[in-house]
Amino acid sequence: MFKESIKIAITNIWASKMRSFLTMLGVIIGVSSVVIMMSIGEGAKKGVENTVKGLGTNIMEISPGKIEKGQQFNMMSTLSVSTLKEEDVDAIRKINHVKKASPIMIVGGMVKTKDKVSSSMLIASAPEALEIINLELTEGKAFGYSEYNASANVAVMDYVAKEKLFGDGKAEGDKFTIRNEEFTLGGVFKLKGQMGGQLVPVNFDDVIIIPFSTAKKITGQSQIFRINAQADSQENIEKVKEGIKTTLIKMHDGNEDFSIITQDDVIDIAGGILDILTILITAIASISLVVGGIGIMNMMLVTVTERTKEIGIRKAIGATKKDILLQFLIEAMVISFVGAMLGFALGMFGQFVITRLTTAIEPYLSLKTIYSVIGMAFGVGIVFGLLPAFKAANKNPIEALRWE
Amino acid sequence: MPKSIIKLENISKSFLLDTYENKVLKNIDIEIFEGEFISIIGPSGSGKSTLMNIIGCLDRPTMGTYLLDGIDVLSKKDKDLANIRSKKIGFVFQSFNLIPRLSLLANVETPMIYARSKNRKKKATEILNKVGLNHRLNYKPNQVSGGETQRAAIARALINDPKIILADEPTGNLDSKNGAEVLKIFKELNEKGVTIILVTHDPNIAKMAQRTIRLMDGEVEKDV
Repeated sequence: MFKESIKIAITNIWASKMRSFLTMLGVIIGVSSVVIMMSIGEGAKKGVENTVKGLGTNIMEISPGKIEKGQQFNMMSTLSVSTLKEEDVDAIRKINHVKKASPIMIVGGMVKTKDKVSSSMLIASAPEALEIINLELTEGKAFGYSEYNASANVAVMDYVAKEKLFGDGKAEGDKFTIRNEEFTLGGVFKLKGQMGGQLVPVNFDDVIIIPFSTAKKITGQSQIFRINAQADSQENIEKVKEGIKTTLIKMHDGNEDFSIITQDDVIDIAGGILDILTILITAIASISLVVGGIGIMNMMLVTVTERTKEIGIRKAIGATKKDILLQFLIEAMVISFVGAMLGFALGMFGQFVITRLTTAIEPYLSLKTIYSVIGMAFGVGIVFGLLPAFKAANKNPIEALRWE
Repeated sequence: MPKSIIKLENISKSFLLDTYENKVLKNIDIEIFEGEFISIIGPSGSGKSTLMNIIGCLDRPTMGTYLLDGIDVLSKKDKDLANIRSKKIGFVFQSFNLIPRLSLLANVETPMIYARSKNRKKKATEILNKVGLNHRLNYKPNQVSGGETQRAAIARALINDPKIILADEPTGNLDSKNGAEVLKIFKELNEKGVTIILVTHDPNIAKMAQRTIRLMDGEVEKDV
């Protein structure tokens, strides 16, 4: 029965090609726009994931102030005078499975050469930070513990900051001043992702990093804004996170006045925001799907009326209500299925065009999108085919037979 | 003693037109036995078609009982009636009523789909051969003559080996030659034991039958 119904449906669709195609058009447009929107959303999520993972492996960040996941938090609490201390960093380094940890301080002050002034971001850290974060040195070398312990006036900077101060060409060993203190450029690096795993997508190119000890010397302060830590493996991240939490609570007299954010947390949060956006634009795109569905319903209602006599004949020769219902429902489903497949193809073509036209958006076809297309392929047909199919099934055979 | 295949008792059918009740059939009692060839005649409006619809399980009477091959038809659900139509009755209509988009072969196969039977193509081809349409299997109804269309319709009626053939003016749209051929097929079928009920207004055709029931104003006027 099922096979027969599909055969009948295909025969009928083929018999009126133009009409069937126009009916499918709504579904084609609907499905293709949903595919494109979902792929853009998934692509953006993938992009965030790659950026965050690109920072380094198994990193987490401890910041002052309590941020509750999934809750509103008071932004001001993270701006208050930090409760993180240098002893905290030392304590974290001793926790099991912690590979490295480093304090991070943001330093204020002018950066100058003889003829240029720069507004590069100034960060102070321990040498470990340069290893935790995925830095790629393109010139010179990073500072190590010998410079650190000596509170030497050395710095590494990314190529954007370097170009601002020294222009093109090699600059290793060149001099510049921070807060009127002379510094030597130790090396230049390329930053693969963002510094410090900030949630806000600010451009963190244009960064200068100096030893934390040096920053303490020139500013007279030891405020720790962040602590970066690295677990020794992916499996131990949660263990390390818990370890840091209990250690710090103990050290902070029982107060949990800090937050620990892992890379996965960042991906979760950013991904969550992107999910909402994706759902929103997909919902808008699926309006055309509803329009397409109504198109199918409309055509099926016309078909049912046109084929009233056929329905009468079929009932007379033994078709039950269910047989007729199934026949017309399957016909609607075949239309929506073929439409969805064509829409999927069109959506894939759209993705291809997008990747060709721009590098800003990288659409990504996820399994979720494919499942959605399959769902739409059958769902639209069932939802919008049901009413016409019931109308067909409930026709009185005698009246239907008399219909001309 | 021949076996009763159709037994109508006290069958009435009325339609409500606004406030006026139109009685189309009035207390009909008819018993038909297996293997009979019966013609039903009567002027238009005498209730022939309504009676045919009731016998064919397409319609239900307002009152009365109907036993078909021992089954109390009126107590059955619509689904079961469809099943009875599929297996026990073959319909032949005046206007042929083949499905226009389907080939003759596909048309003949259709009742087998609803009866869920197998080897459809083989059996449909055989039966089309018997009515002399082996050269027309893949033709659409509008590509063949009226006589051929009606023979295909008879093939469709026979495909599930029904006990009863209900033919409503089967020769009404045919010339005399094709009409005679169709009637010959009925005659042969009847000789093989199929019960034939033929509705007609043509007394010459009615004479072919062993028994003629004449309806008038919704009542059996004559049953000989």
